[in-house]
Amino acid sequence: MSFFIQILANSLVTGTQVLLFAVSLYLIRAVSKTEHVALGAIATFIAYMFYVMFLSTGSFIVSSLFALFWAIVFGYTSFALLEKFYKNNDVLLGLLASLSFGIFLESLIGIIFETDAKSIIDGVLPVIDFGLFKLTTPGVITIGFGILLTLIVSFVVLKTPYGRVLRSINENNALVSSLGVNSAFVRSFVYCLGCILTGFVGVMIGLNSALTPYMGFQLVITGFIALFVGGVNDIRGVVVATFLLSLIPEFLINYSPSSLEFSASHKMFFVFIIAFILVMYRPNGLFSKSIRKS
Amino acid sequence: MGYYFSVLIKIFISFIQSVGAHLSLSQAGIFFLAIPVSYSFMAYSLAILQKKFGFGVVLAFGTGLFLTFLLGLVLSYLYIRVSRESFTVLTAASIVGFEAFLKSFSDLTGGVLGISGIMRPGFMKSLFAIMVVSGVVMLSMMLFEYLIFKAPLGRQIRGMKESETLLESLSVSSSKVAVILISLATVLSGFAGGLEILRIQFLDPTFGGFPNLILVASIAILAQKPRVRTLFLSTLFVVLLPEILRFFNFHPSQMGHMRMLVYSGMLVVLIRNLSGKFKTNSRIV
Repeated sequence: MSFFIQILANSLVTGTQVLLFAVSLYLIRAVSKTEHVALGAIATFIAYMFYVMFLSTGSFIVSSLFALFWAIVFGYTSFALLEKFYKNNDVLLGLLASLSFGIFLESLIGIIFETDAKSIIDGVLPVIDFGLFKLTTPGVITIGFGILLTLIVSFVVLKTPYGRVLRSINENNALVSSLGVNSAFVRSFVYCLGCILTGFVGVMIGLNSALTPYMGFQLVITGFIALFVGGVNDIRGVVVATFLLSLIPEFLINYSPSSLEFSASHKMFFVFIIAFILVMYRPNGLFSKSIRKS
Repeated sequence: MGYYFSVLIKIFISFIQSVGAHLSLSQAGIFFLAIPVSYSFMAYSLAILQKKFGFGVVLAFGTGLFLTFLLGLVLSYLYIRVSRESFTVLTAASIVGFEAFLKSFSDLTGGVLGISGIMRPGFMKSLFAIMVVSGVVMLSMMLFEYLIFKAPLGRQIRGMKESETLLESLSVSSSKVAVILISLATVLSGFAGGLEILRIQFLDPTFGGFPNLILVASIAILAQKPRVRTLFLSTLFVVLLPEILRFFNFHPSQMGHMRMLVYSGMLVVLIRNLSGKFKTNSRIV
């Protein structure tokens, strides 16, 4: 039983990391119709900036502020890069540009920091014992903050006037602008928010395990798959899909017969297969309703 | 001399692979990003059929190409079934999924260590022979693409980018055009993968992947016009561009990153400049 709960707890940490990516992708898509794949590389870059500052000052607060500064810089850079595609309605070109920007950043990280893993904290990580399971402190912070931030974002998007503005920008930008809303400002703000949320995940991964130039890529791809499996306009579906895509592979790996020899390296393969099956059966999202075709 | 032969082979193989991307991505506007998957899939099929099932080189190549075609049909079905954005994301994700598959099922694929000692056919023993064969294939592909552009299919491909609805109203099935293009892109990319693996005779999960996607996408997007000549010039430019880096004294471990930095930076600039230029309403008709 404790093994089961331990797997569940570990999956929750990974699931929350993916969830924050998926929520950021959802928010950016909601206001700009753009799929910002570069968020993975941006999160990695921010985590490396945290690492650099932590090495030189040893202060978590200063390093966090420095990481926050970079998140805002990348938020505005993303806005400047992708706004043109939004205005020209070249959504798929925007996706390709974002993908290239992500690879550009990863190559830059590879050149500056090289590809070996970098640990922010040396030595044994502090572990919190919950009786039936144990989690590292960064893991607990990830789950706590991650779920809290997702709840806040979901509440703001679904229940407040700000959320209605956010959603309406996607529907009709010109109409929203005519009502006095500065839609460009909203978009740039959401880009910054997305970079902050994913940057937080990047730093937490750095604290929990180690930093590598490509660590964000798998997360952003999983977040992306979760976004499309859950339904691009349905935050509830995104949350459910994220945890499905995190939990099912984990249980498949740990509870399959030993003769099958499934290991952690199979995870991404299972994620893709599950996503493929779900998208084939529910192409418009997990909770989408059937729409009649004329 | 070997270096120049290798560069020429790289140009020829990149051209063959880019024909499919040029037709689908650049001309038809289908964001089919699984091109590196078919490249790697064909290479692994060829290697596995040779090493595990004892197939001869030519038979393994033919069977591998047929399997790659079947993969193309599966991906085409995906295109018809899901939305355009989901298709783009899933094809991009398939690169990660396929790499995970290659690393995980090591009994079949050799895992992270890969497969070495892949045999070449008798007529492709030397680097020069490989260059000649790939050059001949490239010329055939040039003729093939030229004929496509002159045929009704070429007009349908360009029409697809303009408006799928309009194409349908002219009794042309856009799904059929998409299936042809995706299958073609998959097979041509597979063919290129097969040639490349016969050259290097070694395979590991990093073969293909996102660097390959960036290379092919750069070539296809740069060659925006429906002309074979433009595609060839674009291939020359993109393949030769990182060769300039050889004149700088970068550490070998940095070269791969530098190459990707150049490609991806160039692609960002290119795509940004392309945005909005293909809108029907912005052109004078």
